Amino acid sequence: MTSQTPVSRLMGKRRFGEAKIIVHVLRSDPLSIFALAVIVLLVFTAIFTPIVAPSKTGSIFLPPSLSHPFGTDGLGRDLFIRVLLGARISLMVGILVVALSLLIGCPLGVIAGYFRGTMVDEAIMRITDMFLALPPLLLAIAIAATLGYSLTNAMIAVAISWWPWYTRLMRAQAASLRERPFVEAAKGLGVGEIKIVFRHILPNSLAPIIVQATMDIGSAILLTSGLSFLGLGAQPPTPEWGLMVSRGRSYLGSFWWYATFPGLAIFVTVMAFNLLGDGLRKALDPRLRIKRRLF
Amino acid sequence: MKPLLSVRNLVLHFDTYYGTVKALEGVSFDVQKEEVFGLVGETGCGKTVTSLTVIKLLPENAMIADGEVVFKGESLLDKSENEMRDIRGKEISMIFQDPSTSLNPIFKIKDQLVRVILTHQKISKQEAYKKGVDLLKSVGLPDPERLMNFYPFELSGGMQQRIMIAIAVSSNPDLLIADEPTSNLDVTIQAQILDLLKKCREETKASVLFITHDFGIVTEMCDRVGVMYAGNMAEIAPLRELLTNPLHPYTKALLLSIPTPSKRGKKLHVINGMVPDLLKPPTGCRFHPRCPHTMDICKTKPPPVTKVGKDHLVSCYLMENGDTKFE
Amino acid sequence: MSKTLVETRNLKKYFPFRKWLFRTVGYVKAVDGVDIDIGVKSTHGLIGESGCGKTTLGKTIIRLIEPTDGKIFFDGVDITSLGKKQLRKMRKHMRIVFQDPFSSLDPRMCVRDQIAEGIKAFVHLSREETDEEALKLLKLVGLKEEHLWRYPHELSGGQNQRVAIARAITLNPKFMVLDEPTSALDVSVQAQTLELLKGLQDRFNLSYLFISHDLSVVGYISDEISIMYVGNIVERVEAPKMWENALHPYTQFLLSAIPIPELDAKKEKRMMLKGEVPSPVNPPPGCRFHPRCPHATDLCKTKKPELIEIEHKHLVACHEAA
Repeated sequence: MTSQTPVSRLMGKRRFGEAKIIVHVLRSDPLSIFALAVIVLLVFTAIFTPIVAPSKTGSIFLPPSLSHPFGTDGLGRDLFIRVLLGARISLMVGILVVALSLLIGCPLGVIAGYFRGTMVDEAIMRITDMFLALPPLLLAIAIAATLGYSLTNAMIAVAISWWPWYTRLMRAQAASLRERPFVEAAKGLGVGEIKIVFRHILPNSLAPIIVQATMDIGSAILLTSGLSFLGLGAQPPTPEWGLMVSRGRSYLGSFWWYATFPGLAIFVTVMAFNLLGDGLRKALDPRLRIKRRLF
Repeated sequence: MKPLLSVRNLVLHFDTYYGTVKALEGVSFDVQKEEVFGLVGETGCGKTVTSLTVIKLLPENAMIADGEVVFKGESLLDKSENEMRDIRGKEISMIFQDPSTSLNPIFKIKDQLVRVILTHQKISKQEAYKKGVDLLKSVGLPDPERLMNFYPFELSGGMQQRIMIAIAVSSNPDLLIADEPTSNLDVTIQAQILDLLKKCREETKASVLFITHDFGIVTEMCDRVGVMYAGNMAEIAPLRELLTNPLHPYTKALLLSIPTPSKRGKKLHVINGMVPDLLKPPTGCRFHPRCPHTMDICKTKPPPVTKVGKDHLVSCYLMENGDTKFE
Repeated sequence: MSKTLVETRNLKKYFPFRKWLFRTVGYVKAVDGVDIDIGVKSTHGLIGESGCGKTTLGKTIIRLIEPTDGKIFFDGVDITSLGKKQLRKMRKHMRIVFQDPFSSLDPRMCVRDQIAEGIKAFVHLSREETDEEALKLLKLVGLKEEHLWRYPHELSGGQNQRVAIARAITLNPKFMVLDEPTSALDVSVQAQTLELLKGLQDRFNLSYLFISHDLSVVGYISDEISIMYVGNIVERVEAPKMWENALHPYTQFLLSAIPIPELDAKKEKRMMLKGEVPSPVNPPPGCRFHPRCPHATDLCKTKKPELIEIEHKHLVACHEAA
């Protein structure tokens, strides 16, 4: 007996119950809402500023005023516009660095974890340990020295020193998931091992990765701006926040706005990603889901 | 005779992200002095939260919307947390299901035992220690002096549960609440623990509120039984009466669905449908969607409690010939 | 006389017990020489308390855990040392259902995909065909079309267990290991599940190895029952006979210990079993039950008793009973 509608047409009725809960929890956490708002604003800024913003110039080192909300820099460029332009750069940097680290680190980690105790695991973990020993700063200097100073190279440096953390995280998740009954059940059904790793273990390991990655976007931004601050990353005239802070550092006493506003921008952005990551952690942890009444 | 514990019309709600869970809807029962009252039911029926309400150990998002809990003549719901702390462990003790999570893993047995004894009795540490050793002996643990220096994880589940029982009876409580104390234990160990509980009860003359889902245990341990379904008290009767003459359709169906060797080859009775979602419970009698005798009136209001015979209470509209309405 | 479908000879599974990082200090002898045979379209109950090795035995029989020694025969074929590829092909015929329905299903897969997995491993069907097959199986286990798209956390324990059963009967297996399939379920749901399993057995000529610690359930559903104690089968008997004439002292203690929901069922005083279950790392010498047995003799302390047939289809491993 067949039903009226072919079953496949009913596929649209899949309900994502899990996603609804996450959204619900996030909505009720004021800090997460604030963080999300800031990030949405940043994304907006990133997309629209290059298109919409006029290129205003005035005399050099003008203090903050109505026509120049953040003042002007040493070349007379409007600092407000420059900071907004920097949002685009920083967001891209953060996302790309984390994405690259994830792309390298996660598959390696999941394979190492599933084959824990075997030669495959050993091999992957030794390589991981090697990369873990590389400090991002020295690596950045080395890369800059060989390949030249640029933001791209700074990003590569950070990504190379970062992927091992994801490998470790994934490996721990995969190793513990390996023991779970549903993995055993899949084996019992005759599902091949590679399929088990990528269809069962990987999707179920993502929760802590998502939390970590979200917070890491903030850290990535911080790190690359730090490298730019030291001159190893973005080069002038790129409107990158770290670079601007570096440039404005010597004028902190007199023309304080030059270094302060980009610095504040970094602070607010990193903070937003950290808060969002925290909110996600709370949302994804089933035990913390009791509704708290505020009275 | 005045009951030791009297629960009347208890209504309990939980506030969750999904909505309000109406966990208990008008639960009433009594526990007399020196009696073992069994609270039976399946998952979600509310038996555990009922006991937690009695000793007021409910989570933050629980709201007692109505009802009263009277213990030794005093209302427990009105008491402050400090007053309850005096009562817990002294006049009302509780034994939980999983002993390994009830005992603190980083303290030795002697520390935990002595601390509990000293909380409710003003004696010296040495006296408390000696009392502890005596307690361990009384619950049948071999070599109690040595055991005092063990950590909980070094002991088996059965031994841990014995220690829990020792702690629970250490202050001679009037009421002992046992929430599925043997569910995690093997059959042979379970037999030992049930035997121990019987012995403790005989010696201390305490009443026991025994919560379980296993009718076999009920048959062994209880004097009177209350059957709960989805937050309602379906039926209360003395043990023999309940087993020989169950009146509520749910009780009848439940008893028929228990597999026993004597039912080999025969079909077990299967109750149609599923336990209701307590976010949106059925109107009227919560069992009506699954009941083979549903009438129109069952869907409107929850049925009143009818007294049948001497000591048999049923919450069902089928009881036309009830004697008096329960007060 | 039904043909034998599954047979084991002297099956052993030892887990190395590592105290220091790499040194194997001893072995957990979870399964220590087990002979079992299960006929076609029959239910073989396996009873024991925690730690006796029954779950390990169930998983080892279908080689979800690799045996340390002994032989396993499935439908006449020696599957003990089959290679990976051939073993995978056998998986179509022997399935397993676990105790906890929630954790045996992938929390991120909807029901339809969980069932489909059992099919996809061996047969390639189009998406529509897979949907139809999944729906067919779902109805067979008593669930509805709307459940196809639900996730495990949206269903109850009983419903999830049905999904696990539906997944297990894909492609018509011959044999299923049921590892405490109803222990995590409520009484009324248990009844539904047991009736479901019986119905499926009738319809598809399935054989079951029903593992449980609950004697009442096993007594209700099994044709033959094996009682296990610390890695060994101590008694094997046809189900109805177990209550009439249990021979091994451990079985007698077990029977005496279960609380029965029938008044006046136990007139005699219950027999109390002293002591604790011995650890499978260092089991007692001779008969493993001797430290707790009231009838232990010197022979029992030294020589391990064999499983011998005392009467028709009734085997016991006990010197005194022989």
